[in-house]
Amino acid sequence: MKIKYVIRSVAFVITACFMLISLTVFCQANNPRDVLGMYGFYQEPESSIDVGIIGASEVYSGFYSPLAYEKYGFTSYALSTSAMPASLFVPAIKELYSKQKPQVLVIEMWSYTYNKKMQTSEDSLRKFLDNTPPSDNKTETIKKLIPEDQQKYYKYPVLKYHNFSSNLPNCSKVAIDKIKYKRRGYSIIKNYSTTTFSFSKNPDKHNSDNRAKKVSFSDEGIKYLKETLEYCKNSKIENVLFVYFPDLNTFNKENFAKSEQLITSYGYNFINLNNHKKEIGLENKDFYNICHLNINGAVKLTNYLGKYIDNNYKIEKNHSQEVKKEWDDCASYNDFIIENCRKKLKKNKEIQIYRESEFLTIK
Amino acid sequence: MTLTSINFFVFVAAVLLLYYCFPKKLRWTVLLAASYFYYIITCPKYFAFILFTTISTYFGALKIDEIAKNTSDTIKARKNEWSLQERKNFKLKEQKKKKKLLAIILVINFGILATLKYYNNFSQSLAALINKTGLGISFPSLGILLPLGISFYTFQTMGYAVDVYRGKTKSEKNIGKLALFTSFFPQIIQGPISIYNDLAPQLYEPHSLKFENIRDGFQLIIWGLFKKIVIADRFIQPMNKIAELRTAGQADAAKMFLYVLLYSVQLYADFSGGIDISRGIAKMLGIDLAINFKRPYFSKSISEYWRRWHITLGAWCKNYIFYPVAMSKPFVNLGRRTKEKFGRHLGKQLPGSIATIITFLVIGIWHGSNLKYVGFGLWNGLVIFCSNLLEPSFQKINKKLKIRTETFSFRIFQMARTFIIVLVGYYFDIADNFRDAVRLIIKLFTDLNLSSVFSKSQIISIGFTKDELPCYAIGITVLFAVSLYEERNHTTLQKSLNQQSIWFQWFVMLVGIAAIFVLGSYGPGFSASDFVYMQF
Repeated sequence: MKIKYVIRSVAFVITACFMLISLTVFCQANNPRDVLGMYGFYQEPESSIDVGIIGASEVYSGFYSPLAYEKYGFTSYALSTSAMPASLFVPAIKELYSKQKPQVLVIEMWSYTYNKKMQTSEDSLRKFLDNTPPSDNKTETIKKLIPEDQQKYYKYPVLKYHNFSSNLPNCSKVAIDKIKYKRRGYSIIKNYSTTTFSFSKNPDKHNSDNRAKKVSFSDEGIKYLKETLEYCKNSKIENVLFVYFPDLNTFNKENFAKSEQLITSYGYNFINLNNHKKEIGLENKDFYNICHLNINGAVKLTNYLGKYIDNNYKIEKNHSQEVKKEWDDCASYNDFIIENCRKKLKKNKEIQIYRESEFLTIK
Repeated sequence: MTLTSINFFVFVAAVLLLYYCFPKKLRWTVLLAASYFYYIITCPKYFAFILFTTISTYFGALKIDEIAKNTSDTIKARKNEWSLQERKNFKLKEQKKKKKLLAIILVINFGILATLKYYNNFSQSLAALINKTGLGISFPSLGILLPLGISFYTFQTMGYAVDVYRGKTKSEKNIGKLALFTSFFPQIIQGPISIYNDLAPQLYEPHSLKFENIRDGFQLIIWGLFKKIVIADRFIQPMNKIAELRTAGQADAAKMFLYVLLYSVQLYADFSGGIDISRGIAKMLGIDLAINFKRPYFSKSISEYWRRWHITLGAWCKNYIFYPVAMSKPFVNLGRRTKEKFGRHLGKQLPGSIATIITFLVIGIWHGSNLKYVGFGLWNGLVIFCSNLLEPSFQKINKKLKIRTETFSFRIFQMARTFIIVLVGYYFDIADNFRDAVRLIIKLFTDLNLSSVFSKSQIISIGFTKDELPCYAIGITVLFAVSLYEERNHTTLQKSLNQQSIWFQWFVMLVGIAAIFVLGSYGPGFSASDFVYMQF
């Protein structure tokens, strides 16, 4: 066969592979908010994050990292996805430490109240696993948490997401934002997202999903809490703060006291911010549903928690010029973003904002 | 290892690499090893059956050839000693030997096929019939499935045996080569059924690596995968939904008509897609397998339909059933007597038409043991029978009504008419049994409300969603557009494509790959369907 045909064939194969890889990346928008949140983490310069926060949606809706940087000078990133189960906390910590060396690890504890079904729900697992790059950590997690016959669909997420024809708008938006992050080298909003809704004074007036529940620790939760504690201890992670973000549920106090005992027995700190709502200045209208804060709530919580972390942990804030420039840039948008979100909040239309463009445009 | 699995394509890549790296003289052995490897991996328990067919046919054909050679040698040697009559008698005696031997080969191998395919159903039906008299009889059932491709390789190999008997081809002296002809892996699952003289030389001849073969084969594979994965496997979803509704007694005539319409697309895309993949793989090896489909839904008559649908099965049945039956003494005599009594047209058509019915009965039985397949064969045979016999009457009607049969509108009418006849035939396919098929067909004509077939509620009730509809639409549109282009231009899209600039060729192929990737029915939530004709 002539050389030119060999070259043509090879060139075609390379082009086809490139096209398929691009389509693979493009099609994977299972939940655009989480895709971008996780993607943003991997864009951060290595070893530039002072405080890593692990948890579910309470975290990314309640803590605004650029504001914490502006107020207290430490960098942070919420490595969190929607309904992230506690079964993923150890893998998430491993992922965090694979790229960063945070001086403080904050673990939001709401996920430890999930029951067994929620700890292994495909939807929740995928939001994290599908958005992490291939690694030993990912492979081990898949082997541990996923039934054998389903594992290949997690190893190769494209098998699930290839049919994105119905999801084209989301895939396109995600692709555009990913390119922006890549070009810039970071995301401005650091996985923050909010919903423009404010609870009325009486949350029980809302639908059943938004009525306060009595929450307690599940057996699964205890199991994963122990797993997390053991991992942190064995990995010699010294500064770990276990925290309950504020919400409007009621708690089984005994049950929660046990978890606090367990945590402190490992020498780690624990704080239940529900006991500090007054100090934080939180009211019902600072929530957009039973367990999530809106922009007003997030600002208050970030101020309080940021101060708590800064006061209780000696964080060295020596960053390179490049990292400082990045975070100064992000912080420069804080006032505008917060004000913009408040304006949208006033309309009370319950819209989730997670894209940079939505934070930065007035509509 | 189905034709659309990743493992299969890894296997094909390995075979291609080995084939072109091997010394030329031994390349056919690579194909044999690959074919046997594929068969053993896919169907290990029933490997003995294909082995038996190969060995029995090999020795049988050798012996037939030997008898034929001895006959001609003996007659040559005794040319001066024997009279013409003696030579004729000797020839006849040897011919009888050959016939007997051929009959043994055919009976044994078709007997195996018939037993494996029809015994269980036949024994159950027989027992049910006998038990109506009050006797409590039951026959033991054969606890084995059909060996992979048994219908295809049996027909193909028996065709070879008959060709040796007829003197059309010499018997193959090398058992390995015959084994390759019998088991060639790209076509073992669902054909095409090849003629020995067409395929064998290509199998044994060492092919050099040619860019055009790789390119053309690759294009065929892409097209086949598009039809199978994007269209056929997707259409299974709403069909399964209707089947569920039918089981629950909620499928009316409109739903069943919709089912048959979907089935017509799904079956064609599945079968022709699989054939294209097979042909593509063979082409990459330098081998041209027979075309098995030629846009059958553009046919203007049922006869034409069967010259465009599963072409090789039709050709096989024509060569080995229709012509022997139609040219047999009883049928020739029938023709002569009919001509004397009823005129030239009937005398010419009647024997052929009866032979056609017999042929289609065989085609029907080939599809399965259920009586409904007999109905399927009978339906097609009778339609052709009637259209052949009534042709002069139709011509008179057209003349009287001044219908211009050469016009575009009349051709559309003919295509629509043929398609409806084909759809009625499909009711036999989809029904549970013969009675059920007849009931469904009656309902089609008495209860069908055409306006409700494509109503919004109907579409939603069978699982079509707004998100999925574009995928169906794209698949159907592309299939139709390509078929229309090929029909109008009397060429294949592939030929036209390869005449275009390299960039355009690349563009089309990349779009095809992207379409399979994005629109294909695979992954969690989709259950990949087996190729329909794999069950044969």
